[in-house]
Formats: sequence, C-alpha cells, structure tokens
Amino acid sequence: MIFRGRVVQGWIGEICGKVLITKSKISFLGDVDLNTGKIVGTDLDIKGERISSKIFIFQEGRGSTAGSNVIYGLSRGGLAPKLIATRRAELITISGAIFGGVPMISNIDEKIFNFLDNGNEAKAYIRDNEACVEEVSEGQNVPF
Amino acid sequence: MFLSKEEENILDGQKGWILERAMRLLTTIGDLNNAERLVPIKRSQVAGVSYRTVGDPTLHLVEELAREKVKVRTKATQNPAGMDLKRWREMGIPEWFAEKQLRICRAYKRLGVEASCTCTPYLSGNRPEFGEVVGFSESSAVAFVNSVVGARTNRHGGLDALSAALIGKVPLMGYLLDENRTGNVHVKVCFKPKNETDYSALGYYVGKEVETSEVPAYDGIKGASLDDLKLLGAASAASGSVALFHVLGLTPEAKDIGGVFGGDKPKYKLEVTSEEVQSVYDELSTTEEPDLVAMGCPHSSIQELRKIAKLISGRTVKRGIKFWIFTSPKVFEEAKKSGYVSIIRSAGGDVFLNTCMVVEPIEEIGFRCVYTNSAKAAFYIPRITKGKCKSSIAPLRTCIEMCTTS
Repeated sequence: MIFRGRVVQGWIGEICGKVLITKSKISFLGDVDLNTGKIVGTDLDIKGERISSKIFIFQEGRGSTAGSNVIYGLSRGGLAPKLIATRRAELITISGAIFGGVPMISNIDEKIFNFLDNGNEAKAYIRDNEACVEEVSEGQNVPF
Repeated sequence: MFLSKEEENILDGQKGWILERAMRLLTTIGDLNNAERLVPIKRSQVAGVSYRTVGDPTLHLVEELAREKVKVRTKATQNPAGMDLKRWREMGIPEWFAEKQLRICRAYKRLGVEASCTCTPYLSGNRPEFGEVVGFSESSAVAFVNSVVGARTNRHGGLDALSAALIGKVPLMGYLLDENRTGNVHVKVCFKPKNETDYSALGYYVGKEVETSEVPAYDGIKGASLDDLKLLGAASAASGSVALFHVLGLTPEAKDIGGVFGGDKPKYKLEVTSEEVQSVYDELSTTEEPDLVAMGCPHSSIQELRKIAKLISGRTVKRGIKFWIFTSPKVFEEAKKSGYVSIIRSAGGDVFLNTCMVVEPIEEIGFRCVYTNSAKAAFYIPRITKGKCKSSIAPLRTCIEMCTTS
C-alpha cells in the first residue's frame, strides 16, 4: 500500500530505512535529546528509541517553538531522521526540517498509522510531485 | 501563492543564500497552508536563544548569519537565554556555558534582535496593537498576543520567526484570517479558580484535550487578571498547541457567546470541574523536597512582583532552599524603583533577568526539585533535565509559606 503526502523538503531518488512511528505529537524540545537523538519524552510510547536514520512518522509537532532549533541541531550533528512525515503542516517541524535539510512530508495519509509498525522497512520517493511512502517487506502485512 | 517580483528575486537567490532559504521556508509554509500571499510585519519574537536548549548548532548558525551581515527588518526581541546575562556567576552558571551563551545573544543582536531575552515582549517594549499582524514564536507569547491583546500571529518555530524577521513578512494564513479566529470549542468552567495556579492548571488540562488549531472559548471565568490569563495561555501552549483562546466577557474578541463562535455552533463542549483540575495537580507533583522555589514562567509582571514583595516582606527564606523570581529587564527596572527587589532580596530571595527555570541548566547548577506556580514550567523541567530535576505546582502563597519563616 502506498501512503501519499505533500512534499515539504524534497529529495532525490528513494529513501530507505526503518520506520519509527507514533500517533503522538512530538515536542522536539523536551521529547528528543539533542545530543543523542533519543526519544526521552516520558509519556511517549516510543520512549527510548533513537530517531537517527529512521523514517520518523508522527502526528505533528507540539509544545516548544524552539523545537525547530532542536531539529536543526540534530541534523547538524548527523542525528536527524532520514525522513520526517507528519499529518499536519505544522510550522515548528517544517522550519527545523527546511533549515536542517531533512527530507520531510506533511499531510501524510492517516492510514499509515494503522498499517506501519516500528521496525518495518519502508521506502519514500516523490512521484508526480507527490510524496509516497511504501512498506518494503517480504510477505503480506496484515494490519489487524 | 502569489509572489511579487521582489519576493521572486529573493527566492531566486538574488539577495544571497540566507534570504533565499528564509523565503523558501516562508513560501513552503504558505503553499502548504493555502496562503494567498505574504504580508508585511513590524514585530517579531525569536525563540531558540538558550545555549542549553539549542546548543552549538544554533550558535554557529546565528554567528554565520551575523558574519554575512544580514539584518532583521522588524522590531525583534530574543527569547530567554540560559542565564542572567550580567549576574550569571551568582546563579552558579559555569564560565564555559556563559561564554557560549553570550556569543549566541551577541550574534542575534548583530542581526538586530534585541537582547532583552524575555518571553514577555508584550510587557517589555514589543507589544503589538489589537489587530496587528506579527511574526511571533515562543508559544506563551503567541497565546498572549493573539488572545489577550487581539493581535494576529501564527505559532511560528524559532527558525521561521527568524526567517520572517529577516524578510519582514509572513504568509497570510491561519490565525491571521478572521474565519480561523472564532472559537470552536466551548469550554464550560464548572469550578471557581482560587488562585493563579488554578488558572494555569485549567489551561494545562484544556491544552491536552483540544486538537491543534482548535480555539477554546472559556465560559464561566469571572475576574481573571491578565497574569492569570498569561499563566493559562502558557500552560495550554505547552501541554498542547493552543495559539488562540477566548474568555467570554474578558478578552477583546469574545464580547458575547454568539459572537465568539462566529455565529456557528461550537464543535463540541468541554466541561472542566475541580476533578479535572485536581488531575493536573496530581500529574504535576512530586514527593521530593524542593530545593528551589521559582516564579516567573512566563516572566513576572510588575503586579506579580508587587504581590511577591507583599507576601514575603518580613519573612526569611529557609536554609537549604532558594527562592528565585525571573523577569524581563524592563519590569525589573520598575520593580527596583518601587522597592520590590530590595524587599525580596532582604528576605533572602533573588530576582534574575533574561532567563528562567525552564531554559537554564538548573540540574547543572545543582537543583533537584523545583516548586513553581506555573504548569508550563512543571511540565518542561523533568523533561528537559531528563528526569534529574523533579517539579511540582503550587500557588505562590503556598510556596512562600513553605520556603520561608516569619
């Protein structure tokens, strides 16, 4: 199944990586450690996971507006996700992604939250100006 | 989105890479949010200043921008830094941190962003007028200027607020438009707030419950002060993403129940009783003994400082605990002239500028537990310190009773 969204920060070719996915909203300041890329937010289901090199999918940014500087800093430190995908085109996350050069999708199809799990392999590409995310796996993925 | 010839030239790189990136950011945001065009702004609030929260990457970025000699085109003010810019030694801030922090503030200043370092620009010389379009980051300042002042801003991140300040424009979208400013959640307040922390807890609860871009309209609050609304707005902008709220009969765009919802019915009703408020007190509490009582998130107003001076006069701060108040330089000068600062210091407390208990490295200074009247602060402190420092909310009166003797 292909999940589509809008391109915020484009990229060339295919991005492949492991999925890190949560239905939660993320305040990059407070929920993510700038120095390690680890999720430290205590009320998050993905606490303890690292966002670095992942295809990081979440609802949207929330909380601190300095979150954009944290995303930027993660990128400079080589700790940014390979790709960020969110439901909403939220400004804090967008500004961090664009300044940090982190590929980003917004308005991602919300079905993605029911179909993809943490650890799935996925790939992202741009086709006809639309961003696409697809699972890469052998065998069928039964979503329930 | 429509762009003028000049705006297109900037996007094309004709004014250099910095303005090109800033313009690309603003136009991307605008396109994704169906903005018709960009509109000029005269005021900005720039978050992303504390070395503790943004670190070397933002330091290097801002220094690079300063080297390129770009300048903001608005009256722009910086968010709190990670320390009092003059009295950092008295705070216990190490020299290596101070050096980095001063570099950040100086670099922003070279871009033209004033180093008042406060989250309350509206109390500190950068206050918009009713209806004025501005480009603010700092979630608590966005909430206050939108809701209490009736100015118009979207909830910008630190970097897009900076971009908007450099270009002097923001996309015409979101809360700049009349149709997005009406209330759409009817918040029935079914308890009587007893103090400022009750208002903070109320905001915290509502922030968690409502969806982003929903506009709560509070019904049933009588007699809330500006400081109460300041705390309420900051809390709901931290637990959630509330950028605009109305308080029936109190805030400028909420004259009556018909008008506040724009003639439509609200999406749903949210009832808040003392039970829900108690759940916030339960969540934002700890069994640890405090070693710091901290007020000023958002930065204290002159009224709050007067109240603190009145309550603490004649009392003494206990050994083993510090009582610190955080405020902006402008308010500090007023408080000094009025004698409040010397009353607080005579009691053993202190008043610091340019920073706060959230963005300064309190666990490095040595604190392990902070009591505060601000739900926003109590929410962030355990997270930003990665659990090294706990926090609990309690009203000012209770905090003073707890940390002082007569």
